[in-house]
Amino acid sequence: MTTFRRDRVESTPAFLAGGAIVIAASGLELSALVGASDDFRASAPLALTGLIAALVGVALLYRYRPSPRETPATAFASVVLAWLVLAAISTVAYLAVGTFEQVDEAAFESVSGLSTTALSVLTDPEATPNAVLFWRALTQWIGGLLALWAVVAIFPILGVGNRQTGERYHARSRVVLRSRQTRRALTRLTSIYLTLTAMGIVLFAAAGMNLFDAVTYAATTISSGGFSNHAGSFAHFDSALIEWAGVGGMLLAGANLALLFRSLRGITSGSVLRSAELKAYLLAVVVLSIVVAFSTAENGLDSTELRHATFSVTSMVSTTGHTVTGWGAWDDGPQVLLMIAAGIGAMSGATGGGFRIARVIALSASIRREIVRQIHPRAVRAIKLGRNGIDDDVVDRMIGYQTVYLVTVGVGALVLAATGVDLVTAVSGAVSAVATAGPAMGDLAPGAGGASALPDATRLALLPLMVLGRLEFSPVIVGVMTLLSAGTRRLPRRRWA
Amino acid sequence: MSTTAFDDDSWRLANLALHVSGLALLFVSAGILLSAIIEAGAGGPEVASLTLAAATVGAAGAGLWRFTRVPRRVSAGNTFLAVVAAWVASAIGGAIPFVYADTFVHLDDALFESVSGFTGTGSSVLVPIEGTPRGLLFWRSMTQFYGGMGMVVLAVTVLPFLGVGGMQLLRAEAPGPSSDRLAPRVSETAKRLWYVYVGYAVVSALVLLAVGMSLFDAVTHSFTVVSTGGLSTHDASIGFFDSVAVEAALIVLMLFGATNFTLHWRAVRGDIGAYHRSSMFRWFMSVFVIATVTLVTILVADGMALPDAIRDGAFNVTTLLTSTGFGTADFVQWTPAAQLLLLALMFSGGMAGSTSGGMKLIRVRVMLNQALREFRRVRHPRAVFPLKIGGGAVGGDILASVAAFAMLYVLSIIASTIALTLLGTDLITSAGASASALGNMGPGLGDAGPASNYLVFSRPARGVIMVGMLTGRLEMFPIVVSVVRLVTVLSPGRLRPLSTEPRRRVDQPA
Repeated sequence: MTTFRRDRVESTPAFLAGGAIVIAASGLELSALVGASDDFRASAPLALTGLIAALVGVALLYRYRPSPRETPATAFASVVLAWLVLAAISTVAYLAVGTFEQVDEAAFESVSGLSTTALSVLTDPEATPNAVLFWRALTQWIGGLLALWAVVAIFPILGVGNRQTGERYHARSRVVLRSRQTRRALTRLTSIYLTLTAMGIVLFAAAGMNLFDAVTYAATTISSGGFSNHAGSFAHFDSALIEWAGVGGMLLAGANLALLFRSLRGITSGSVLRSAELKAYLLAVVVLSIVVAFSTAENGLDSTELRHATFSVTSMVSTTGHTVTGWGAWDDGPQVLLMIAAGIGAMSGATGGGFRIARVIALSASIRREIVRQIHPRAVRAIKLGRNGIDDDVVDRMIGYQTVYLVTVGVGALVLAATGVDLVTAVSGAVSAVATAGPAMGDLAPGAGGASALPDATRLALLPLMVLGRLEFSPVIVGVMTLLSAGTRRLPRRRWA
Repeated sequence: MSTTAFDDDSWRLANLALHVSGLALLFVSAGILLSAIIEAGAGGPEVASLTLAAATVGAAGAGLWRFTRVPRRVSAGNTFLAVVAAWVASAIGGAIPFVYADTFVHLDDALFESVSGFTGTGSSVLVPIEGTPRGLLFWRSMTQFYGGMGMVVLAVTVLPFLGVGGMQLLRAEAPGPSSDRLAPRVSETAKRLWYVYVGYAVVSALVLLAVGMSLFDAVTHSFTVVSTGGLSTHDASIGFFDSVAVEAALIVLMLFGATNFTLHWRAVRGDIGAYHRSSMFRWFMSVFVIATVTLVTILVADGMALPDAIRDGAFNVTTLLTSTGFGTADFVQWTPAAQLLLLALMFSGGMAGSTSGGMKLIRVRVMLNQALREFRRVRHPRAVFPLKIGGGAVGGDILASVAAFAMLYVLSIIASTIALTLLGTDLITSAGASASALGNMGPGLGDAGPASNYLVFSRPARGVIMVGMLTGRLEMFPIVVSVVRLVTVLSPGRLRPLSTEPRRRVDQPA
């Protein structure tokens, strides 16, 4: 990239949009290549879409360069813009191949894919050309990668970035886009993401999948996506080995990749085990699996029930959304536990979504501090995440985040209910969509028809929930507001932002 | 009866919790005695059992009160313990009339009815209500009347000297993040609150008489409306009267019951403009109007006639926003969107410093303003934005305590929902009952709607709901702190969950 002209125009939004288009274009070409042997008629439109996109993308990259340091508002606007451009290209690709005939279906599949949610409107994946299936899995993989990049580029603003051990959690005021540190962090994360995906492919292939399935399932698992090449998701394989491999992959998807990276390099493996968040994550998976297994066991616990419970819990905690059993037949109790698991979600710095365990730990510590203050009003206590202190300022941000999260779920559920689904589907669907998990209760329980059976208006209402949840609310809201105000510069500005 | 400074009371056990509980039980006993008199006046069959109950509770209360005294120094932890103890004692004392009169099959049903009454929830397990003797119905309303302003506020009116501890006691019980002093002395503040409260009940009874209720109904409903409790003397609740005038009167009375009593006190002293000047009161009214308009729109879109939609919509928004829980329409039959809107109202509750339950609007507003403030801070990272409510800045420690409350509140609802679903109830019924119990509403969603009662829950599930009602009424912290203290006391030297001293590592030289 350094070989480009030095006199490029400085515009982060245009540069990131160009980058997104180039990524999408390469993905489309790759999908066309993979699917060429299977069905050339599906590959050709994908390749053509990719080619046109590549021309536009390269032109943008040639013309623009990013600012080295960017205000949060512009950075967020750029990220939202790039994200929407990706979704638009994917929509066009689906329409060009003819997988979906309606724009809203193609857009739903694209947004669900990029946000790594597992809600799909593809009714018959087995009859779909391989090229499209591969692209579909790739959208999730790209979505997961973007989520990881956001951890480096965006989260420091919110104070829950990718911290080194011993550093305090504090909020930065500028997004540093071009620095050696940022570049090194991005390279590291990308390489570990690639490594994990490769591991996933080997794991799934070794467990008995064919190569195409192994690659696509690894892509949708490591990215915490949850799309599947088969109508029954993991139940299709009917293999205990593959299901346990899936559990392993989803556990990785919900874990903090930077932590894993450090442990792989063997430098500070001790710090990995000391991570309070990792402990809580593993504990949550184990405890929830046991509780769900026992509350779904009919007469005595057998290994299938335990496996299915573990799979479902891991799938929801990591917000992947792969399914192995139609849990709509369970009692409401274990199903509610799954929804809570998805709502809390994965670790910070993972590809999975949700409220994130780090925030839960920090907010619990702040609740504890308030309880102490009730008894000892003058007590001074620091809030810590593991060994690292957290600025009160960052805790305040988490408090704000929590409100936005709950209000989004609440309003989302209200809107979903207004579009005509029943109460259970509305509430659980909103929780699951905001957490970018996918499967929920009621009409959205695995095996109950899924997103394609929902009314059009309901699917439309799910779109903003998935985007908000994936990009952690304030980037989307601030970004969209910035984009709108850039478009309507002449209009009077709103005072409150 | 009152102790003087010259009494040598050193022989008494210095325990605030027992002393306050004793006083609360004496008040409960007086209430039961009043119910016995009503029963005698109505010629009912339960005069003897009510009198006996009054005597039992009175004896227990007098014993506790006489043999204990207020300690010289009262720590914050002990005030919480005292509040919880007073409430648990009142709830048990309040259940005794039902037990003696054999109203319920199980002992725990009587306790449920009593807890539901004192906490101002109004979830009932009494069927059929209309066949129950009048004295017991009167006592049911009376529990709500006591619980509305609070047993501890009542006890504080007669406690001679408490100093700083008294205000802490009031704070621990009073709804809302802060409580105003109405007078320099704590006991005087408590007395003034009760004057306003009783006066308001008298006015309500007169209004309800004027719109056509019988004297008995007017008095019992005035008790449950000023306390925003919501128990009724009829199986069909307010639907029994089927009168627009009654419903309109109740809407106004409920809204005033959910208004900060400090504002009422100022209004009584001649400052009517206090309502208008209070930004929270204006916010309360806006929430009411917006919620009503939204609900009416949803109902009309669903095919209800406009006049019916306005009548049912306004009444049900009021009854859930103020956490009263009177029923006129079976809203579980409404469209899902309308039910979710009502569920959201259950969370919010009325104004702080009122008798209503829920999270209280001021907390909702602090949390929302904090969320908006974060958006501003993201756009302008180096600017300083104070968190403002109605012109005044809110300090960081108030935000922290409001946030902790809100989180505990939401967590309790979630925990209670999980517990109820694991006990075999379906999700919507569980979530509705949990929100309803923590918010002290009464009716829930699903199977526990306004036309149903809480007998749909299993007995263990009703136990969970009881804990929820108490936790919600005492606003989380007293119960949480008491539980933590109990755990600490029961495991000496091993658990120190709330110690503020720095922990010394074992291998470190002292």
